[in-house]
Amino acid sequence: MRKRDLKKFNINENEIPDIKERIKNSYEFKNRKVISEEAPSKKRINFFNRSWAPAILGVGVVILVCVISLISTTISESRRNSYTTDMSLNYVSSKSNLKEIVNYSKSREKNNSAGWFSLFGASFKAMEDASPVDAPNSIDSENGGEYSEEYAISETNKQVENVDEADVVKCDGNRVYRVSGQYIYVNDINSGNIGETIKIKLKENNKSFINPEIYLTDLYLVVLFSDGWYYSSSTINVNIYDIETLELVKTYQSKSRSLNTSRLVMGNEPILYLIFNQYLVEDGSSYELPNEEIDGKEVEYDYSDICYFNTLRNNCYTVIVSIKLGEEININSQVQLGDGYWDAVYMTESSIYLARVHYDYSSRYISFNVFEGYDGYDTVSVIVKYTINNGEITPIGTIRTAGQVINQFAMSEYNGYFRVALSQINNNKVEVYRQDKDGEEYKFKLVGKVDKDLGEKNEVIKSVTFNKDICLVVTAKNTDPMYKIDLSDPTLPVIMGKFKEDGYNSYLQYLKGDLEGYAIGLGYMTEDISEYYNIRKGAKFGLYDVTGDNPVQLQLIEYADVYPEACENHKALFIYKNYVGFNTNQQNKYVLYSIDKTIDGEGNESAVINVKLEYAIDYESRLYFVNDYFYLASASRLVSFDSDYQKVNEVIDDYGYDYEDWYDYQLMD
Amino acid sequence: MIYNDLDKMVVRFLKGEDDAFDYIYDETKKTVYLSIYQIFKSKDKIEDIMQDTYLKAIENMHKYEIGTNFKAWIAKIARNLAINDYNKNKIIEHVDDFDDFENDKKNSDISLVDRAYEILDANPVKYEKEVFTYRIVIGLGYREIGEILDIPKSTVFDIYNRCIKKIKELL
Repeated sequence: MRKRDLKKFNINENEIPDIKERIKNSYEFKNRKVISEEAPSKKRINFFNRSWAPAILGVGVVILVCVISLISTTISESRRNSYTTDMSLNYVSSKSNLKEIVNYSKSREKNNSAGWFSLFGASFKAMEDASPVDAPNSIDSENGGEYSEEYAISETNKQVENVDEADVVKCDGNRVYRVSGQYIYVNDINSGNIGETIKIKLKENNKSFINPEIYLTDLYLVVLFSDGWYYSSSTINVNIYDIETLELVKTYQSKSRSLNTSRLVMGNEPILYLIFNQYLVEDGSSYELPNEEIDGKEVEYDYSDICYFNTLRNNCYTVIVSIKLGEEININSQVQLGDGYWDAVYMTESSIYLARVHYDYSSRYISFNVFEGYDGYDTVSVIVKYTINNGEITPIGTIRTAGQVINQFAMSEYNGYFRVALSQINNNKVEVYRQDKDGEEYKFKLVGKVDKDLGEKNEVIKSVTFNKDICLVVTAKNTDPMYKIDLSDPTLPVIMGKFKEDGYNSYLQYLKGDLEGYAIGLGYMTEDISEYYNIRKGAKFGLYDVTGDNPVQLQLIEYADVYPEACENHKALFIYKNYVGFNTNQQNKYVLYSIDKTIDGEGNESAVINVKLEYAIDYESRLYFVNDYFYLASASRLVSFDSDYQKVNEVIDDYGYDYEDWYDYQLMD
Repeated sequence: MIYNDLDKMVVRFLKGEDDAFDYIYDETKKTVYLSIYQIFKSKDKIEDIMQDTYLKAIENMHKYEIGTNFKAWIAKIARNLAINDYNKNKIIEHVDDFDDFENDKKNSDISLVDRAYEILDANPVKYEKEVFTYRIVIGLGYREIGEILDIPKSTVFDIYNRCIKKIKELL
């Protein structure tokens, strides 16, 4: 279905009342507030021209509302501090059973005035004396590893070491691979020289595919792309090419799905994991099973392959597919009933966590402010954990707790503990869970949390980064407190200190190697224009000393009126040794910075940011470092620079669209 | 900052240029109308709430965050005013209650949008009609719709997919 099919849903604009002149002649229009260079006038309309009786009545109504709000807030507060877990995995037994499970879910949603389910009945208190038995196989996989000096090549900026994330440009040291429209462009590189572009068309006669992304292994070039709109259900394609010959060796296709995300677990035999959502389609008395296609052949599932947790909203399939990329390519999958599109996905070499936000309407409160809406609700997150092992995917259990997991960086697994930062206005927190053995089962237990003083009034979490025992959290409405939290005792997380600056960081990262103890932040400059609202004025890039209790800002670079891709996409950021690079979007300039240690005026060690290289290139661009040379790549250009930051070579290509297809592509969303 | 034309007009309007309102009105009237039309069908009622919406928007336009989405901002005002009015009076409007509606819309003239609403109303799901209106008829993005309805983008996406399936017979 194309967007042009939906264009027919329109209205006759003659039906719309024309009240323009009536408004322009109104008192409010003619006497409206005008913003000038001078300070705004504080003159207000005088409301106090009433008799006493209505005034007393008004005061009484206000007091009544306050009392009701206080009661509902108290109820809401206690709900916010509860959590539940569910480790009871079930399997669908038959076609009719699938229908029963889904119908039960729907009726629970409809009938339960508490939203999805009441937290009161299922509250779970932390077991203070619990000690872990055979701690689950979590690996300290974040922030590990130093830069290898033997073969100096940078990598995609990813969250977890050895768990790669797809991107539009990849480099294996011998070649640069770039996405360009309907093609992959491949260029040999060697000591700054760039070879002729080899173009691989992803699919013949395809007019509408979107967002190709790349992975590389020692054996294969893997390309993911979809037919259809970015967010809608469509066909997801995986093309696997021999890395040497660039010959297509295997294809995988899944239809009527949306790809939530993917990851590649590195190792001797890398394994690609694809996380899909597939909506239930009615099929007579029940629902269709998920479908796959491998090398053109359909793979069939059975109803008994589908598992579920009772605590999830079972109206959608979550399908996780693993593709082993060894000498032989093997495909496995796991299907679970659950919720829809996952808001955040965190993956390590041994675990997958999927998080999604829900709303609990049981503590409705009345709001008379038309800008804040009329519904009251609590924000809760459902988190599902799987373990992965050699391509086998096993659901473990769920956690349901108050707050929203804003992105993948808000979750972390370390030393047997699962840490999660949860955002909710005036109720931000960081929780620490452990999987403890209870009889024959492992259960999640909340062992510690920080839920006070994280964020100032009306603030939510904007960015998070975990680094072993430390967590940095930025909350913001307009100003940006950065909190440093000590997680070395998981049962007693403590806010060590904070740093306030204007605007807020949307991405934080600790630096490694010689720059351990420093962190960078990317985000936005904002300006307050009223009590509730602000405007973005541009972006900022900051360097912080995070060795002490209170983070210290060492340097701030501001970019007025522009928004770099790296503010919202961590893969657009180049971080390698002491280099940081990203496209600032100021005249499309890609800027490479170095972060260099210095000694300040008092003889103390510090660090500064220096500009090394600036080059104008497409907005969506990536930088790689290979053996003393930098390679800057976009869909239409590949440029190399030497270690003195001088340009060596450049290849310019047309964008990879065949024009007949391109015309139709333009009509898409 | 490179703002879109609508935001530029908002800035000019805030600085006192009356003529800028013409552009603002023309660009947003469909969005405002449809935000109210989901709840009320009476022409008089829609006009009243449209007027209230624009007056409220004029009064609070200095609070709008330039560079976000003005259509989503004013849609939220319109929707909330309509909901507040509905809650106050709890009048469920049926198409055949209103002579003017009957005069204006005979069966053969019922638009595809109204037919879609009928299908969605037959088995109503929360926010489905709103997502249909904002996404398909007006063309707002998922994030913007989420801001109007105060729900996450992922929820908008879910609802949108369900909605498309329901109205597919009209495609």
